[in-house]
Amino acid sequence: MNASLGFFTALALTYSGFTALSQTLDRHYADRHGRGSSPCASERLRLHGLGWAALALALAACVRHEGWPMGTVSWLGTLTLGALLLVLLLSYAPAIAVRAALWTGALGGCGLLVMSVAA
Amino acid sequence: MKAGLRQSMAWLHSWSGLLVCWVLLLVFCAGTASYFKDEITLWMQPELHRPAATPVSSAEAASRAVAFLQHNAADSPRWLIDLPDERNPAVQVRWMRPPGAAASGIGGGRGRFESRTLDPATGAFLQQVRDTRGGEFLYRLHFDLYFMQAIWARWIVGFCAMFMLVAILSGVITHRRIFQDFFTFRPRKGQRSWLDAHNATAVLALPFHLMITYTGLVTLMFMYMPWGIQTAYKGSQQAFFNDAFGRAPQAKPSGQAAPLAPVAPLVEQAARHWDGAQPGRIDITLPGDTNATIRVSRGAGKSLSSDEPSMRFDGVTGALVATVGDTPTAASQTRGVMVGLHEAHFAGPLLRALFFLSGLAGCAMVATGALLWGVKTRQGQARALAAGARQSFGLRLVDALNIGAIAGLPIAFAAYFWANRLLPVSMAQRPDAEIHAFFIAWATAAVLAQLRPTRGMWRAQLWGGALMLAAIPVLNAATTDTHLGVTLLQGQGPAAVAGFDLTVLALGIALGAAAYILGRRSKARTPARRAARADDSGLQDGDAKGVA
Repeated sequence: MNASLGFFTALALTYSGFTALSQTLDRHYADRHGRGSSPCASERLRLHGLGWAALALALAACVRHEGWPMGTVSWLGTLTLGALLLVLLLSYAPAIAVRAALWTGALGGCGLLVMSVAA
Repeated sequence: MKAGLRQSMAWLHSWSGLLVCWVLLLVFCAGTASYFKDEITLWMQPELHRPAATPVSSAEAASRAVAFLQHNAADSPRWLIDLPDERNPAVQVRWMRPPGAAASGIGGGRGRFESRTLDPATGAFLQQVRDTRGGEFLYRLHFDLYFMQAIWARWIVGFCAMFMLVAILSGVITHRRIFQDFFTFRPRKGQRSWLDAHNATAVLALPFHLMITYTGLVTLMFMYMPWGIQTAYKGSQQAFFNDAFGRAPQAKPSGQAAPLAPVAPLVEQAARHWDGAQPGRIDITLPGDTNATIRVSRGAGKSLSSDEPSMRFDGVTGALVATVGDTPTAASQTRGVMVGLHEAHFAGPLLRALFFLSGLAGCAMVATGALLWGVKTRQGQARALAAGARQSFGLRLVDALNIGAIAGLPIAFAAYFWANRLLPVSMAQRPDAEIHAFFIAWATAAVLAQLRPTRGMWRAQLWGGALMLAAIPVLNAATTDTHLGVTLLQGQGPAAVAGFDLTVLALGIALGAAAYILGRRSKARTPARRAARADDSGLQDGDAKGVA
């Protein structure tokens, strides 16, 4: 299996997962939907679910790729990088940040599929 | 203290952080660079950038190295051979000087050891390779410092690491909105922006920061907390190390000569024992004596632990004496994994880049923390400053130290790399001259900062560091033929050299951006400032982003 596939799959998933989680916070939700707006309870629940699921899938990708000991270390590293990228994008281009998360989420899903088929 | 928990923790956080932040910044910068120690050393030895014509096996490289040592260091009591791997193309041999022998002054040998870089295919001393300590200097700098005995330096660094641990824990407790502000960075908002940048770099890389500080203390725990061992082993630390790491007790030379067993079959036997994982180091004691031993250790990269398993052979017959570390005990496994996490020898290129990035986040966290103290204190004195009073002594001192450390360190690092390319290749004491370039550049920056701790000084030094770092790829192109045009565009030459060039270029651009933003902002506020007749001093609270 390509050595970097697991890494970039995990990075894409942590980025999209953190983006979903950021949209449960009023400040970042309002960046996109206008001042003062906040997500309703069901949307908040959905975003929470999506976000945590993506982070968990990222862990799965890392562990599948490198085993538990190194996979966990890789996962923590991709969490940091994904979150740092998101913070920078959210501060300067919030709309792009959220749109990019849809794409990276899809790409991460494809990466997971390829990984499970290839192995 | 009567204040609540958060207030007392905030007090603890700002003072424990401020006291050690400048040493910590040095440790963080040098330690972060050490993740690419081998790559830095390779970049600093352009004579090695040509790939070996034919790759050689570990066994062959080992026997060539032994032949070299038999020829050049027959009377030495100990030989160490570091075999080539993906990150390091050459063979490094070191041997302990026999008692009474003087240092030869070549090959970068230090202390009791002589050192040479060999061609793995021929076993010949690569004489034309320039003498440099390369990344090893930066690695040592991050816990041995320089200009002082290593033992004192390690106590100082350990003290600072302990304060860092206190600052991290108190920082987490005092961070009121750790989850609400998890993704928050508000640029152009003065003190708020600095705090956001400090929080983001600290919280998002928190697993790394906690790990690196704690495991940093663990790497030197036998020195910091020796009492358990002293009690259990009646003061003999050596006996403990022999037990814990499976080292053989120091053998006495018999005085009778005996030829050394061939090492190539032993290297192959060890590789078979480790399911094909290649040996990384060979340690030969008392070569040429009947009591000789050969110890072969596995190369890094197979497990998180830093304790690589090894096999010990009789040095004359070549018979296997013991295998060590195949099934480590829980305690030594725990320590091994902690030290391993700190050093990250197991990490492949991508994971290594993540460690490097997290280290940079650590540098930014320490730098923004140091700046925040100044920004807050200046705000406390704002009224007095506006009325024309001079800033307090403490504030001026902190400002000057901040400039010298945050803007001065990149200049020092860049000067080290510039010296590597510009000093004559055959110069005597060349490694020392490179290191002196590092400290002369840093001392100049630090003294200038003390003389004039102003915004102008911030800009000048940030621009200086930015230009010196960003120009390194140009310098490399002018002095070697493995520049980005070759390594990146044509894909020839080591990828590590291209990576080094691109990394320093990116760091230079980041510093340049900080200097540019600082300049733009100071221009924007000049009229207002004239009206207030405020003192032009230090970094003001308008300069969010900055180094972060």
